[in-house]
Amino acid sequence: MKRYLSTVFLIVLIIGGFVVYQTHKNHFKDLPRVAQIDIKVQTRVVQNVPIWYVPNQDTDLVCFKISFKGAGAAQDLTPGATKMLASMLNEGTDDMDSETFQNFLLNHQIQLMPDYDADNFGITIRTVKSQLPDALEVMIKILSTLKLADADLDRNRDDMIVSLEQSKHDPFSLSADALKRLAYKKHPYFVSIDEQISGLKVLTSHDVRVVLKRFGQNNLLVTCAGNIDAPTMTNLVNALTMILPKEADLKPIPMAELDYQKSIHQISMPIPQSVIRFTMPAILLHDPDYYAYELLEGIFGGTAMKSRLFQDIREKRGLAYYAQTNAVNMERLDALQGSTGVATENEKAVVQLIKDNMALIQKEGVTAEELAFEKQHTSGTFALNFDSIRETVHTLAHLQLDGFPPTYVNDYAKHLDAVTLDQIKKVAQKYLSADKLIIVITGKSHVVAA
Amino acid sequence: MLWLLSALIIGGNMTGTTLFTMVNFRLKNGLEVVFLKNKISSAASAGVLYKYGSADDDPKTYGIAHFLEHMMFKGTKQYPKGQLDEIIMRMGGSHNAYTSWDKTFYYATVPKDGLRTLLTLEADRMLNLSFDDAEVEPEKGAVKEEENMHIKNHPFGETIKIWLRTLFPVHPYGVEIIGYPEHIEAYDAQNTRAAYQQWYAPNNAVLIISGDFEEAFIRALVEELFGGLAASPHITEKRVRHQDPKIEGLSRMVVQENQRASMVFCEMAYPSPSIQEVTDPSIVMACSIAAFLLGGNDVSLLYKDLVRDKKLATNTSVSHQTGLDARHISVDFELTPAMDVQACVAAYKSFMQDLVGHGMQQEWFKTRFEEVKNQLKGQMVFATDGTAGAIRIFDRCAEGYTAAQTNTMIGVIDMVTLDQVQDVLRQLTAKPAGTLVIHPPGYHNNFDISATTSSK
Repeated sequence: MKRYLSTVFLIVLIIGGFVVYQTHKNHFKDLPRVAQIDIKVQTRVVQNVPIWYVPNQDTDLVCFKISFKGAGAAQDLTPGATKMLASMLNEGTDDMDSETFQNFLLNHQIQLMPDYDADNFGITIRTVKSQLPDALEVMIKILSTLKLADADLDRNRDDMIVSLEQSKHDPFSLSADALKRLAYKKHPYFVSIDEQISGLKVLTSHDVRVVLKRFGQNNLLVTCAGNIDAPTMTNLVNALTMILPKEADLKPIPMAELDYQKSIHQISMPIPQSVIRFTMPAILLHDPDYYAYELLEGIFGGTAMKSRLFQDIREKRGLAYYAQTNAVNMERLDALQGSTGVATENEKAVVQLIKDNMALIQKEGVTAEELAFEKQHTSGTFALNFDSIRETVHTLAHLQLDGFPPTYVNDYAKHLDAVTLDQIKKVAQKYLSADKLIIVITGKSHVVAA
Repeated sequence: MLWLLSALIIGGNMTGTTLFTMVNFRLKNGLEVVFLKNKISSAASAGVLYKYGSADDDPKTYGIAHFLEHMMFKGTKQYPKGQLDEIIMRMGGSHNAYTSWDKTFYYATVPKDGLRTLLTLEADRMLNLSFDDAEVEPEKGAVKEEENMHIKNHPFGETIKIWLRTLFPVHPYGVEIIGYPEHIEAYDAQNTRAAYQQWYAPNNAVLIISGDFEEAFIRALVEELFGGLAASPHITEKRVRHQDPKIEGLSRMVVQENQRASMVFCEMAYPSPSIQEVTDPSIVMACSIAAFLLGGNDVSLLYKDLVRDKKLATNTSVSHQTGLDARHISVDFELTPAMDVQACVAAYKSFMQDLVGHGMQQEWFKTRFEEVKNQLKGQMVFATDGTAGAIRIFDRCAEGYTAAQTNTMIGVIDMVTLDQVQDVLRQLTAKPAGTLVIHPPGYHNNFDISATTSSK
């Protein structure tokens, strides 16, 4: 074939040598064992509020986020209250009704993006430098004079309930719901779809205002990136402390213990592809062995395309389109979660493959090549979390909320680098046991042997 | 009120009509290169866009474009199976690909100094793909499960399949990108390689790069790595697909009582032209602006009338689908089972009649039109945040747009006149090309086609 003789092929061949291994080596020879980051996170503390920022004058864009630690949905007295507040933050303030407010944001190039999980609540704004003063004012206004009109509340309520009702026909959300119900029992981290619907049905504007009381000076964290300077951030924090109470109103959340069940739980749904979800306990985020666990989790199922689960279930056997795991480290819960989707007749085989892969790693650990790869990949992926200013803010806010120091960004790779094969085997033996698995299968068949 | 006033003034003061500092050139072998400068990221992103999608496939093997996309990760002689993944992932890079009806796009984000490696791999697999025949069957298994996940497991998946064929009885846009199970069954090593030979070549591709590099460096690097690839003689300028017959006065309606629906979903689709047919990008942009004005967000005209004021639906949105060939403007409604879809559609029709009859000639509409144009322009700046997002918006180069037209989208929005948007709105008062209603069991409604459409 003529095209195989193209010059590019020859160039690569000469540089790389004739043996595949050498070619392969050539691309890696300059790669360090772990990727370093040259980003410098600057910090300052204003009225006891920590600010992390990565300024850059070469962009016209600005992004900043304020986070309230512990203010997440697990605090809800009425299920759905936090979800509703996140929506209502877009529905206007005392001097602007919902439509005026939303047009104001659009006209001023202000993107207002509230987000929450069970633990925390955050509000991100991205805008252009020239609109920053208005953007800062928007942040203050929504926290001090939020409108919460009944008509807007009702409209959001109806829309949310329609989506939640429909999600009960979706095997992904339904099985996630069932897995949490099995695993966490009555912990506030788990609110079922039905409980959310019931909560939303009775929710009043008062219930939403209660959520605002979780926002205090003592749980406030600030992150920013892009074309923004420290004095501007200082002004924002000063303005925030004028309107926020000293102390956030938070109730303690108990530790969530995974409730291990021997059997596999089955949900019946007339679909050709069964959704298999599983969970098991994971290591604590601040455990000294966490980095070993993180690398182990990647090798087992977390690193798409390369993980043992992906290779075994999809690449080798073509049994699934996806097979993945992720570590979930929340304030009061540390778990590994995984999922895959397989044809009904392959359920049993795939569950066995998951267990076999866990047992194999427990028995033999991982290989030196796997560990070396995972260190480069994990550190390198982290370093690429700063491509946009929005990602930069998002990544830093996560670290802040998780209680890490700003130097973590630069130290992370060193921690990964220090992990040994023995450490991996040790954490595998502790955390990768099949007898701690909780499995939910949503699909056609009704009986699967454990 | 002062806020509002300043909003209008500042909103109207958008400066600059290009999104990126862009360099756009072509190698002798026909490869088009788009370089988008990003001064602040320590990452680089690059993508190879092939002007080939599932709508270009043979009707017996629809979706083989997508299957080939999977097989493109199976290696070359130089970089056998798994190496591409491994090399990119070792750098911490993320990479993937997607196929649509009109394009296949391979994209990755890597550290800045990994760009050469990434482009070496992309140049290599542009012409040198070499997979084992034994790889085909397991990968077909993965694609079957992908189809199961997206279509059969989705409550409305099978319905959408029929809906697409209803809108496109002959055109390949009527078949899901992934193909039907029988198409997937028909893929083999031979026809997959044939598709590769036919469509993958530098003169059918666009290389899109974003990062903090000098123009001279990019030019030299691309020439070095891609310059030696041979152009293919098979590539034709125009991609011709089977076109649907244009039959006047045809009404198409799909109504389904769906066991897995708890909401009522209604969609009406109206024909809209493609850039290929009309050439002038402002004509296509007028459709996008009309869609945004009517149902782009929670301050759009339809949302305001039907959701906020009349409470006839819980949500509505209007979207404009673009493609190499003509697609549609879709008007969607979501309702609770307690709401009346017939009443909602009737109110929508009468709203459109009023708007076209006199509303859109009023001063408020002209003001709103200008405001919406500025809002759309204002949002575009966020596409410049990060290298990964930047390269993605240039995938329109496989839909008949030039890179320059994409980079000057702000200018194209400016060009759109009130008349053009009024024309689009007028077309939305005609009979839709099709109407879809999905409702839960026991939802009683008399779906009388004549009641839900009004003739011109």
